[in-house]
Amino acid sequence: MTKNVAVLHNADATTRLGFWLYLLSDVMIFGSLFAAYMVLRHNTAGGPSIHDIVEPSTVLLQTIALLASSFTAAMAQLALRFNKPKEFMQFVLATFGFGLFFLLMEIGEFRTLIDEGHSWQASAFLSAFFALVGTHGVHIAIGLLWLMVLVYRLRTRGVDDNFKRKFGLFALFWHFLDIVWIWLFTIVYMFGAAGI
Amino acid sequence: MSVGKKTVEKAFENYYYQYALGFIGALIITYVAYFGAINQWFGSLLPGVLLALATAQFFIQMVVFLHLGKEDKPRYTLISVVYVFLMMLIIVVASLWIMKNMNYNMHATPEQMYEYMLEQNKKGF
Repeated sequence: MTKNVAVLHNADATTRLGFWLYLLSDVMIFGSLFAAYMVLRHNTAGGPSIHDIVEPSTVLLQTIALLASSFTAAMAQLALRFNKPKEFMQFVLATFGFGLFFLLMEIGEFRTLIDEGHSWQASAFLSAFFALVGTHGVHIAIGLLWLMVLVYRLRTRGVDDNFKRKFGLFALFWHFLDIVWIWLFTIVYMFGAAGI
Repeated sequence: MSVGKKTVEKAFENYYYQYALGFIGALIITYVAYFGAINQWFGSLLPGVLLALATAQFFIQMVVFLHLGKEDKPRYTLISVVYVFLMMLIIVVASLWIMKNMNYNMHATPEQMYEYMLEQNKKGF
């Protein structure tokens, strides 16, 4: 019995380590995109600079939504661990809602830029901007899809150890995206708003 | 039995407070960065202050929500994280450094550069 539990624990720990290694490879992708952005951010080719296109209040709302989403994801995992199914569903819904709100605001920002003729083809700065922010947005979209799949699985097969492990990995992914956004918020948007 | 249940509730509450505190801390840092950037606080120190706030935020998130450093030994996750972030820092800082030097050393206009390249090509390899 004890031996089985130990084996299970090790399998869990190995899965988590494997997922961490994936996240760290993602760190390298974002690191490269950040480096490209910081090098190219003044190469506007006569077009708008980051200071012209950033809307600080929108970005603040987005940031608060994502921080709240990360918090509710942590609470959902906690509710799952302590067997509180009702709270779990509420927190999962909140996580999804905040995440969707964030994504829709970002899509709105992109649409406005493209409608005004400032697409990724306009300048090196805009290419780097769309690549960096867009890659993060794609990750968020995939995270939302993942969450929907998890809820579907919960509805069909119920809660078991397997589900708990899967949800733990999702929470890890979601917190990771929050951390990437902190750097986006600072280096892209706040530096841009301050005109640095 | 009831004692066991109470202990479980207590553990739940402890985690809850920890997460809530992390969330509030993150919000405060976000607001300071936001108003600092909008109102140009801190003068010429602003970029440094913004980066310091982001770093503080980063560590709060890493410890509170990702439980970094709380795993059993051997700490494979922590070691991997430190290694990858070191590599990333080298990529980012070194890219900025190299490109800055390149811009500094590039005195030629594009037309001059074109002439220079033609001249060099004539020499052959």
